[in-house]
Amino acid sequence: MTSFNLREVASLVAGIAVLAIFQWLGSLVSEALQLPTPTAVTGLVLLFVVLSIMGDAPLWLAQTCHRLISLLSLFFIPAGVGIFFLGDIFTDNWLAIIAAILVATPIAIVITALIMQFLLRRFAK
Amino acid sequence: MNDALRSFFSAPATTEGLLGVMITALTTLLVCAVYGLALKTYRRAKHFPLAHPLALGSIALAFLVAILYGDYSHFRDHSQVFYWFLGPTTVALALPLHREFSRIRAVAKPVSLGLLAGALISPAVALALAWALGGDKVLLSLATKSVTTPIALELSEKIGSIAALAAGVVIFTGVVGALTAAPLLRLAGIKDERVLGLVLGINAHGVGTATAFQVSPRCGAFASLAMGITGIVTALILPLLVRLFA
Repeated sequence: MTSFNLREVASLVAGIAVLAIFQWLGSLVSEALQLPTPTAVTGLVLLFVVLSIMGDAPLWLAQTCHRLISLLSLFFIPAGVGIFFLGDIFTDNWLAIIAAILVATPIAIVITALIMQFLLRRFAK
Repeated sequence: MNDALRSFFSAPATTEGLLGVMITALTTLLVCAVYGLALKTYRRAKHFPLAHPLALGSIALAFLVAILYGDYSHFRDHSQVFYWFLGPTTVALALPLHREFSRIRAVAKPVSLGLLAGALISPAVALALAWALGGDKVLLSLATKSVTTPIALELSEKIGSIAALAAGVVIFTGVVGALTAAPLLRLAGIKDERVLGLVLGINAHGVGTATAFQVSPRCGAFASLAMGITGIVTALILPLLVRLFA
């Protein structure tokens, strides 16, 4: 084990701690202002504001952010497994669920694309 | 052998002492191993959306859970570590959002207007369709379908939808969106890379953003921005709408 590895681990831990602190601050703000938003999203907005004031994140924090985001799928897989164990909820509503995924998604894609294209052209100078 | 394995893993999470800790540790290893294999396959498949680790990993893991644990709730209770990381990861999304935001300043106005509209329209289409097909009881779980996964999960807790359903719907919406966006835009005669990126981020969150980065870095940047803003806008508005109508 070199000191380089140790430093990397330390900055990862510090980065996660900072993000967790922002989430905690988010929960304080959400509670104080009676926001219905999830606490982590309030934390996201707080960090965004701080980054806008600071200009950019320090390297160690940026590295932690990228590391965590690249592992997003890993963190989410256990929750995703749940859809295969729904039982009655799925069998009673399978048509609505499948349609929302297979039919509504392409429709929404076309609508949002047309709106985006229109707006980009409209505001183009 | 199989029975012995199952009776081991299916011990409830309340199992105290060494056994409980061991099952939790093994569960964590199992999830990591499945994810590692899924990621390898995804790279082999040249980042084809159907092979995205979210889709492939959750399907593969579902089989293992059915065989080993028998019951989803045991597995869920032993995999709480992963849920914990979703919070800090959501906060971490502030960084790419901040960086993309300063990069696209020139088109900030049309893009933010479009994102606001898109974040409302894509769940609305799904809800209208599902409602017409009689899915009243699952509507709330479909409302978060286009939102990046950690935000969707937190939101489902907040608005009281079925977390397991919401999570699965998010994953497969992402896959369908990533697969269909480029062909659909080609059909509609839209060639603007920025539009493709934005649409992928709005409708197909992380899976779509990964696909957008395959198109070009610029397309990917627009997709990450769209994914972040859609997540935030939905998180701000959805709980209010639920409060109004429920």
